[in-house]
Amino acid sequence: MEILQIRNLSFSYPNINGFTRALTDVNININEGEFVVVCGESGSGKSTLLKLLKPEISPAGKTEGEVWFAGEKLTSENSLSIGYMGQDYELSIVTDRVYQELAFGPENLNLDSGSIRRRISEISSYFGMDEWLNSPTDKLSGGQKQILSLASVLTMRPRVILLDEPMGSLDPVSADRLMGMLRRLNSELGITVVMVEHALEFCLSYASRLIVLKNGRVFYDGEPANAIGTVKNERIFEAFPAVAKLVDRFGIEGWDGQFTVLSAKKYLEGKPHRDVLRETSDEASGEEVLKAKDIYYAYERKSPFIVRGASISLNAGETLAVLGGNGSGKSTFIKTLCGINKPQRGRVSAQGSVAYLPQDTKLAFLKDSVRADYESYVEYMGLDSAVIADISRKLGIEELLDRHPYDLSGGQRALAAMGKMFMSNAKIMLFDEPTQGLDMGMKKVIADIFKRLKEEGRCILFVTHDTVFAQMASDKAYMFFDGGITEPEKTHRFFRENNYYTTPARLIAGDVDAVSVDEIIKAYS
Amino acid sequence: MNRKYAFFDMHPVVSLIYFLCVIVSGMFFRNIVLELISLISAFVYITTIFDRGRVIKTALFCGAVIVLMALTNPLFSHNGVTPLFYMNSMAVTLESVYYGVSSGIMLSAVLVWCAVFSDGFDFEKISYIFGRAFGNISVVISVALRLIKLIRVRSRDLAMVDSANGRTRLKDMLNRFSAIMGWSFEQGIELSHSMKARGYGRGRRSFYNRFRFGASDAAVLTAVVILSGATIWMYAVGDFGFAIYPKVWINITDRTYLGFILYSVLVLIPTAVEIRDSILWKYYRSGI
Amino acid sequence: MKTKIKIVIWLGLITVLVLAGAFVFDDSSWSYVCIAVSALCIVPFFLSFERKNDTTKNVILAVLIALNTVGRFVFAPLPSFKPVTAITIICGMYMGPVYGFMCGSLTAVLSNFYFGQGPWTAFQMLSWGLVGFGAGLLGRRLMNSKAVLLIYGMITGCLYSLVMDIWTTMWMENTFNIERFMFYVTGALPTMVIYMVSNCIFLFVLIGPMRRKMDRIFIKYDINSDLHRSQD
Repeated sequence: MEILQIRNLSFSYPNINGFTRALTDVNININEGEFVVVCGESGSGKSTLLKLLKPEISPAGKTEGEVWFAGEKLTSENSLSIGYMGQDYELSIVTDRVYQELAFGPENLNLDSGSIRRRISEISSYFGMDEWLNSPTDKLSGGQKQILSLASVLTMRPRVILLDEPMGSLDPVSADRLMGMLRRLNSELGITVVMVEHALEFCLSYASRLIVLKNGRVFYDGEPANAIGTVKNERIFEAFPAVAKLVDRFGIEGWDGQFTVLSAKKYLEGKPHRDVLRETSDEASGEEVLKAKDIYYAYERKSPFIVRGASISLNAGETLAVLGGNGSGKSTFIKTLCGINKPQRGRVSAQGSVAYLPQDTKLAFLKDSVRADYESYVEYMGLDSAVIADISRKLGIEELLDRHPYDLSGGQRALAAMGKMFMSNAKIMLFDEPTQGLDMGMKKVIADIFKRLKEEGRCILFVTHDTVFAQMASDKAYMFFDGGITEPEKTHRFFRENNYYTTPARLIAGDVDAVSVDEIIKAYS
Repeated sequence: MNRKYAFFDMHPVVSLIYFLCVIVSGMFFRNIVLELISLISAFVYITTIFDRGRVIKTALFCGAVIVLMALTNPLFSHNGVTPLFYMNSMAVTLESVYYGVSSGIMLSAVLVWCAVFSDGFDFEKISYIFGRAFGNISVVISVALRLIKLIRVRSRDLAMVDSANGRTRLKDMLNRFSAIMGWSFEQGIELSHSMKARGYGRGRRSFYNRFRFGASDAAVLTAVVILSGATIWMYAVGDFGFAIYPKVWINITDRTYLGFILYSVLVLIPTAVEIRDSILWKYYRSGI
Repeated sequence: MKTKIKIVIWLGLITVLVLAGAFVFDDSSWSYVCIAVSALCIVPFFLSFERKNDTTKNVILAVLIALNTVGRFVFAPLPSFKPVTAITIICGMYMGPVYGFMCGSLTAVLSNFYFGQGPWTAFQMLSWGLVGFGAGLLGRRLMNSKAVLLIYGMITGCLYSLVMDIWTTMWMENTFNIERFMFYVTGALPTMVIYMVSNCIFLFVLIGPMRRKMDRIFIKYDINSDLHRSQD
């Protein structure tokens, strides 16, 4: 049965000069019980499309065409059976306690306490939340928050769940857990799932249908496995799982149409390969610029130490990655290095100033336009204002200068924030999850920016849970674990030696000495 | 969430009414014996729930309040019949010192009860009380609380490039605050989407109530109402007559003694609940 | 008509409670009357807020309350130098008297959870609330002239300080001892000056950015503001 029908849907955002087209003539029929992944480059209109399926939060603008839900026209009345989960799970939680959060939706349905209790108990048992049902919401781990925001949508008993880039801020383990839950909801309860996501690595193997948007139009709509031929020349193909790229390179023969690591391994099985010669250039690293010895940090007097006896030494001209799961304390660690958190024990000594870019790049801007922000920064740094034009040309963000930083897309804002890093004269630059919510294309741009910053003789340290990006952008890698960091290793070796926490390409490659898709392709061609 | 204080495990209505009674009576009963009963039992109670350091700190603070009141009151009040000495041709009287001491005891008792109340009566209970009569306000409070936590955590990150080491000039603080403002609005809008997506704002909403009003709640509540009703009535008819000016005078009758006992029972209820609870646990543990 | 009856009933209730209390708590009647009146005065405002049902505006109110509370932390190094009154004024002037009142009074409740709850909470709720309410009533006038706005900020800073002194006097001694009151007023003079100055500084500095930010949000998310409508 068709549960969602999108008929000739067009949408335009209002702007100063009139309207900007976001969607053009979109026609999609979604059947009950489907698992649909919608992807597209940033600006393709995918998030707009998702919001138009939930009238309560539809953006203001000009809409043409219509959406039907379960045989009726979609209104804010019948859309209660459509659940929506926004991008930032932190911001989908509105109450102070877990059980209050679960009760929030049913309360809005004006149910009595008995029925609400029943719904909460049901959901809490289904997801195993009993133990933290009474916890304050701000004490939960990232993974728990993600579960909570999904669960509190489910207490509304939706028939369809819409998710907007749920993987964005999750480490691989939490991402897999979330996908597992969605699969369970889909297969056990028949709930239709529609998710917008560019981390196709994690979700494509679960999807029964893939929709690719391009410039506000449907570019591809069908089985995920058949998409390769259509999209292989598009930028979005970068985001596809490793196996898709291998299939694209070596032909479809021998592939079972799945996007899992296992099917990629089977696909490569028996194909001839050779050892890749690796140039092990031992770049001489520069002088030491930052040293931290045995630092301890806890948020409150009685709370446990998040950072326990961590030591690190950074040299000029290096790019280092600190990897670790959600809530491992790696962000706290780098905040301790740059002085936002003062360590209770141990010392951090830095040569020159330290620059820090927070995970939420909105926080990098204090003014109401990018230009105003740059100007005040230039003034503060005592630089020549010509540098603004220079750097924005280098980064290709000239058109963004007069926009409000909050109106930019995540990728655009990340670029604008990088501009400030270029203006800074800091020798040491710390980045907290620099690729949060960015698509593959943007990740490559950021990796390139890191290279340029490094060439200017700076030391770059970033924390991330994105193994592919860390592999791409860093010289050395560490794990943050149990309050401290592991010994630094060359990035290649780091991912090579890790068996679980590593890049998908390494998992596929098996015995072959490769940690990225490009290296696998090199080895097999 | 750990259970904090046994008394606050009771239904919120019970603890709210109880503390209203105790704080209101503590503030308005001007009778030195009642004031002392209130202060002493407040301390007895906090020794069962606070750690020793906090009890000592509270005691020092109360001592300071009493001394301060005793010293400053004669400056403003020249009533009384027993002059100690003269200052600017105004008499500093013994009675006004007494009055200061009595006010100090009253103030510190009320402050201690308030501290206990703010500690034990958390937001969950507040939102329960508000949620029934003021659904809208309860949601606003809840969202504000969530935002306070979000803003406090994330605004630490508002250390932008190079100012990581913090600029603390007033101008910078104001700039930062203004940036926090803009950021918070964005966060608020996101939160409102999450609320709307879950059907908020479409009309009447119910209130999920997790608290059960049990037999023991009823028993304690009845006791509280009877005891405070009785003492207030006795106060109104003058059984607790007490005056400092112009001369210290206290009215003592048999009924007054009864009144003191009733009031002591009232203010010792939380201590009793706490002690019963700890005995219960000792008993359980020894049974293993 | 119906509201008038309600108001009369409410006023009657206040009078009865006040009289009853004054009779029971003979000596202490002053502080009793104060607390009872302020607590009861708050309720009608709360009830009229309950009738409003605009999710986005409610959330913006929550944001402002949160900012007020956080502001008390951010500016903790500078005693008495707090943005609370300024933000409450801005809230009232943008969102109307009822929202202004709610902003002030809920800030008192919430922030006192971090800074100490007590009988003074009721008093603070009323006085901060009225600051916001007044700003709401004066809305357009404050909006049009920065001078008026700053004067309003100064006056409310001064009044707030005086009112809190009245409260302290009364709850220390249960009667209104003018001598003691004057002592507190002189003792609190520096604080009062800081209140007035900080209100001015905050209003002066924040009004521009705040206005831009509010306008942006109101336009971007299509929120009805009484002021925006009347400006068209």
